[in-house]
Amino acid sequence: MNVDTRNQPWWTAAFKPQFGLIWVLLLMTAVFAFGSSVFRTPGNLMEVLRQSGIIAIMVLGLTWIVAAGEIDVSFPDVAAFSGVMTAVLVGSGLSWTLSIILTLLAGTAFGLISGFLVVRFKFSSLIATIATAGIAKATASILGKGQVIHITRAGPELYQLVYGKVFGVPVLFLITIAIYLICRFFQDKTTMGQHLYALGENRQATAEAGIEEGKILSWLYVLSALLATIAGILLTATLSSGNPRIGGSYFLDGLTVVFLGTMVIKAGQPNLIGTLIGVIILSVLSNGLTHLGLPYYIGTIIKGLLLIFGVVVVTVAKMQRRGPHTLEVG
Amino acid sequence: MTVKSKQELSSENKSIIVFLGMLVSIIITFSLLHDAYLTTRNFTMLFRHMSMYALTGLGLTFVIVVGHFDMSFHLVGCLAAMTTSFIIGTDMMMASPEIGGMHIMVIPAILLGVLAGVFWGVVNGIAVGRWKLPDMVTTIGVGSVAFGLAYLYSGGTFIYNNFLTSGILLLNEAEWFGLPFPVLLMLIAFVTAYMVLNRSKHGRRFYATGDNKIAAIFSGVKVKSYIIAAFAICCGLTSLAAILTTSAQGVGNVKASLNFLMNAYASVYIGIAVFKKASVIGTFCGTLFTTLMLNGFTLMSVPFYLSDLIIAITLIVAIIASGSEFKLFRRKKMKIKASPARSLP
Repeated sequence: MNVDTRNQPWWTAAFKPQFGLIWVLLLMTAVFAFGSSVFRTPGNLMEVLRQSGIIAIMVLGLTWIVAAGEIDVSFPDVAAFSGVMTAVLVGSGLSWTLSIILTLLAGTAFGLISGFLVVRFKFSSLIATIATAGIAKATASILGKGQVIHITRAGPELYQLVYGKVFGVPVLFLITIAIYLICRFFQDKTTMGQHLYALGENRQATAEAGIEEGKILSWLYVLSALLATIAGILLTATLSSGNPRIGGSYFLDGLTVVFLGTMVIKAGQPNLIGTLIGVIILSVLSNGLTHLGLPYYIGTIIKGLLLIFGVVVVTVAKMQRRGPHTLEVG
Repeated sequence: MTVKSKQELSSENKSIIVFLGMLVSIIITFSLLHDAYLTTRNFTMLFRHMSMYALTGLGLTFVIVVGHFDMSFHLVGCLAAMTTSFIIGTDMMMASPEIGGMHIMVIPAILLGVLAGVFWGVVNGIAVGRWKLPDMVTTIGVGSVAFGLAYLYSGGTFIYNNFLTSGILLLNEAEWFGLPFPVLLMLIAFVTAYMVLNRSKHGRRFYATGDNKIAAIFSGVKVKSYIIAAFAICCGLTSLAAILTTSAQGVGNVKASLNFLMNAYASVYIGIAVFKKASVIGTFCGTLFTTLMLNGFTLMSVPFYLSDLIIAITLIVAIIASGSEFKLFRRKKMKIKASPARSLP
C-alpha cells in the first residue's frame, strides 16, 4: 500500500484494490447487459436501483455498528416486525401516517433493548442481537397470528415515494442517495464519525481517550433499529403485505453487503459508500440472473464467493499495511 | 490468589444452585399446569426434540471454546441434509440389500452427508485458523456458498423419493435399550465430548487456544489444528442434527436446519452463564433448559411461533441472572491486548 504513486500514470489509481469492487460491478453489469436484452432496458436498470433502495436503508445502521467493532443480526427481523405492524395497523383502519409513527416508535424499542443489553449488561453483541431478533420475529408473528397480512394499496403519497420517478430515476433511490450522502458527511467529517472508527480499532485507547463508548453504541443500535423499521415500512408499502418471516431472506444479504463494502475506499473498514456499492451489486446480481434464466440460488453461491474473495483481499492488504501481528479482526 | 479462586468457586456453585432451582421450579410449574407434562411419554418426546438442538449446541461449544464464532453451521447443515436426501432419492438406494427394514445404502448416505458438513467446517477452520481471516465474515461467506449448493440437488423443492421405503425414518424411530436412537446418539456425543474436553490433554489445548492464543503457541499447542478441528466438529455435529431432523420430518427440506442458529447460541450461552465458561455440561444444561420451556409451552398449546420469544427471553434472563462475571461475554480480545501492559508491576 505504500507504493509511491507519483511516477505512475493517473489512470493506474483506478486499479487500486480499494476500487476493485466497482470494477466487479461494472463487469457484472456488462455481462448481464450483453447476455439479456431485457436487462439492459433503462426501465429494468431503474428497477434494480429502486430495489436496492430498501435494503440500502436497512443496512446503513449495521454498517456503522460493524465499523464500531460490534455486530447486529436483528435488522432483518426488526424490518419484518415493522412490516407486519404497519400492515396490522393499516388493516385495522388507522391512517397510514399514524400507523407509521406508531411503528417507528415500536421498532426503535428493539434498538433500545439491544443497546441496553450490550451497554448496560455487557452482553456480547452477537448474543444480544440474536435475542432481540428472536423477540422481534416472535412479536411480528403474534401481531399477525403467524399469518401474512395483506392490505390494500398504499395511499398516493406513499405510492409515489415507493414507485414514483423523477426524470426517470426512482424517488426511493434518490432519497437513499441523499440519506447516504448526509450520513457520509457525519461519518467522515465529524468527531462522532472518527470516534466510531476508533471504537472499532482499539477499545482500550478509546476508553483512555475519554470517548463515551456506551453512549455511542446505544445510539448506533437505536439508529440501526430505526432504519430497519423504515425499511420494513417501505417493504410493506411495496408488497402491500406484512410477512413475519421475510427477515430470513435479508439476513445473508444484509451482512454480505456490509462486509463486501469493507473492500471499497477504506480497505478493511465498513463504510457507507462501500455498502451502497455492495447493495447495488447484489441487486444487479439477482436481477441479472433472473433475466438470464439462471436459478436464484446461483446468486447465493456467487455472493458467498465474492464475500470470501473480498475478505482475502482486505486481509492481505491489511497485512501489507501493518504487518501480520495486528490481525485481530471480527 | 487462593482467596480469589475460592470466591470464584463459590460464585460458580451459587449460579449452579440457582440454575438447578430454576430447572426444578419449571418442571413443577408445568406439571401443575398440565397433567401430561410429568409422564415418561412426554419426557421421551422432550429428549428426542432436545437431541437435535443439543448436538448443534455441542458442536458450537467447541468453536466458542477456541474463542471464535461460527455463523455458517446452520447453513452447512442444510447442505448435509440435502446431500443425504439426494442419495436416498437415487435408484441405487432401493437396489441395495435390506437389513432389518433398512436398506444398507442409507448408512453411506448419512455418512456422506456428515462428511459434506465436515468438509465445509474444515474450510471454515483453514480460513480462520490458518489464513487468519476474520471469523464472522468468513463463515457467513462459506455458509452462503454451502446453502447455495444445497439448492443444486433439487432446485429447492422437497425430496420425497424413497423416504418411506428406504428406512431413513428408522434413524429417528428406532429404539435401542429402550432409548430412542437420536437420544442415544446425543448421549454418546456428549460423553465423548466430555471425555475430550475435560479429561484429555486435547481438551486443555482447546481451552488454551481460546484463552490466550499466543501463550498457547509458545506452549507448543498446534493452535491452527485445534481451530480447524473445532470448526469441523461444529459443522459435523450440526450436519448430523440436520439429518436427524430430515429423518424426523420424513422429507428432504432445503431449510432443514435454518432455525438452529439461535437455539445453538442460546444453549451455549446459557451454559456459559451457569458455569462461567463454555463447557459440555453447560451446553447440555442450556439445551435441557430451553427444551423444558419449549415443551411445556407446546403442551399448553401455545402457538409454535412463540418459541423464538421463549428462547430469547430465557437467554437474556439466564445471562443477566448469572451474576456479575460479565467480562466473560465480552471484551475478551481487549483483555488479552491490555494485559501485557497492565500486568507489569
